[in-house]
Amino acid sequence: MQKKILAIVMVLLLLLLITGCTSSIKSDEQAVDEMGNVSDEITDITQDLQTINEDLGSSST
Amino acid sequence: MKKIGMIFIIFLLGISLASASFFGESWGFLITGNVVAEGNAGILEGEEVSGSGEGSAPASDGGSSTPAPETSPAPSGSGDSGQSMPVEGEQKPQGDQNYQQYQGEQRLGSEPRNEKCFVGDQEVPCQQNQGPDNYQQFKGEQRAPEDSQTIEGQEINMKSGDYKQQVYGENWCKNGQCCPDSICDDFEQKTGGCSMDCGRKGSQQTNQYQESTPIQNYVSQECLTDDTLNILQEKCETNGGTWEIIDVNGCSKPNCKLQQMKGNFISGGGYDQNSMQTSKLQCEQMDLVADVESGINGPQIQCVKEGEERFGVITREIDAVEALEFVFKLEEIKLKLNTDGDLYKRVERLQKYYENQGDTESAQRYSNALTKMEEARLAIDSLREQMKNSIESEGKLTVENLYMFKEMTQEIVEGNLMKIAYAMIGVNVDLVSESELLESKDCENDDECFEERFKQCVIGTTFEPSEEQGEIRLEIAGSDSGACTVILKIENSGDVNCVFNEAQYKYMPLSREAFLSVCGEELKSKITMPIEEFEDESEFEGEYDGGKDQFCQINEGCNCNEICEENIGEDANCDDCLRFGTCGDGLCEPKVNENLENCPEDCTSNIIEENSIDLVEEEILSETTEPVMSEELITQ
Repeated sequence: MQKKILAIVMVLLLLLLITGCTSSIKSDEQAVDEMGNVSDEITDITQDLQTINEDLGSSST
Repeated sequence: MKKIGMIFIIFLLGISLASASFFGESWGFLITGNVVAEGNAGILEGEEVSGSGEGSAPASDGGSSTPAPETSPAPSGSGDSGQSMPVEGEQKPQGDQNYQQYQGEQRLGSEPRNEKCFVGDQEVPCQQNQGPDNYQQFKGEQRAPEDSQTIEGQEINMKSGDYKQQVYGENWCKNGQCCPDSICDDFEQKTGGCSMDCGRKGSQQTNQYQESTPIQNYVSQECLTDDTLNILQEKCETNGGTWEIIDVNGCSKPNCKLQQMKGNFISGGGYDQNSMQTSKLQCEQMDLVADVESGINGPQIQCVKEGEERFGVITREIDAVEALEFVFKLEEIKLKLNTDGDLYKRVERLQKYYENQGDTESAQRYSNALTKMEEARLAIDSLREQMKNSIESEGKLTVENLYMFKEMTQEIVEGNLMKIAYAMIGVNVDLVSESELLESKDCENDDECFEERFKQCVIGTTFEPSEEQGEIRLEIAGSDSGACTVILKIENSGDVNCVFNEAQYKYMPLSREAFLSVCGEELKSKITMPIEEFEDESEFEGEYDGGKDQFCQINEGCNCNEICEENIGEDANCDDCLRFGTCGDGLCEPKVNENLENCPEDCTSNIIEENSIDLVEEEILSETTEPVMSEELITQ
């Protein structure tokens, strides 16, 4: 019985740990990294739109 | 066994609490495995990491060719997060043989990551602003380069010869050929270090010393002198344009708005290639380039400095297959910005993090970014929807619609995504700043007045786009749940109610095509579509909308059938002459830059020397079989 409770508690703690690590930012370092990644993605989207804009035509086409 | 289990539980409990920041940030290594150098975390806020800090590049006592220690990398992050933001108007040094920045580019407001710069094979300190002409353009305005910068421990004026010599080497002013001297010499071409001499054209020129024409030199300069502006103004007004000088950071930028050609809201038109070619020629005569925007009465054509055009001149339609690619790409982008998407959630997490940290300013920045992201998603979706409708209804993207789509895309990028991006990298952009709220007004036929109120959906604002009074009247009638209702009162045809959603009225240009796209069949059925009629008729028959008056200033008193023989030798051409000066019209007209090289179809057999009026007359007479102008117009 004790072993079962122990196992359940361990699993719950592991889940707590995993959710804690993945769902929120815990440090400035993580925030900086996340900011860098997000800004890269925004840049990619901006560049994609710029490419579409260029492909739509201009004096050079 | 129980002991081991308990120890394991305590350990797990410990790291769980650490992950929830129970012990403070210094215990973060339990989760990340890294000891955090928090001193540098502050760069998120757009602050430069002090150069005197540990790991920063110390001053070197050598010249520019002396290798300098590598700058310290930023705190560990994603490997590619050092990618630079595209800054509008950003100039990079051309010809990077002498000054090469080979790994990554500097992020705004943060320390460069793993960045090395080289002069030849030797490493030198990287500079944020490379080259004398570097500047960052932000929110559509140029930011002047810093006058001085500390390079290798010395305060150096970036405009001075010392600075240029350090950047470009000893040869930058060799044999007295300095910058600017109106000569784009080998060295300047190779380094791209003197846009005043070389401009854009210069960088594409051959390796020979070349002197540009005086106008070319003037126009390629960053700031134009009064004399140059006067010359350009004269040329602009001679071509029937409206002259305007735009002041950008103390620099006068020329802008010649050409007369709109034969377009109006009811009948449409103005986008035919002949009109566009004529406008291009007129701009080229001023050493400027044509830039076309869609307007409520058809295209608005402006002559601007090369490199400053926003949309250029679109010369081809896009077929359905190619157009569908854009629709798919837009769909993809829309999904990335979705509120359920990964990107949105990550920004949300950043916002919550700063909120929990008590950093309300940063939290607000990210909150604004989220709002803008949602707005961008709606705008992109609207753009995609309209493109799809255009393909469905017309089987292609017409030139008219392409201008609208381009303007909308540009608006989304400049007015939205760029701001999000700047916020991400910590540049202090006031995302919430909106233009001041305007009051309703009868704008009469002032399209700018109406457009700015339309963007805010100011109820009660009225506008008459047509010069014919009472022909059509627009009224902003209501605003409900983010939608804006505009009533179009069309003479003899009744009213049409058009409902623009928020993304549409904020991001679409005020153009005839926008109304046709949003108002749908009801509006289309009430206004004629004369573009097809034009295509059916001969180009030069005078009965089409506009006719002589559209190409000839009434007060010039010139006759459309005679002007070429009257004015071809004079400095002041009237519009008609240029109108006829189209390559392929059978006349070789040097006045509009036709020659054997760029218009062989006209110039191989019909060479007309400038000022040879007799020859022109003969040519025109010999063309009597061609319907040059109707009798009615000639008698006018």
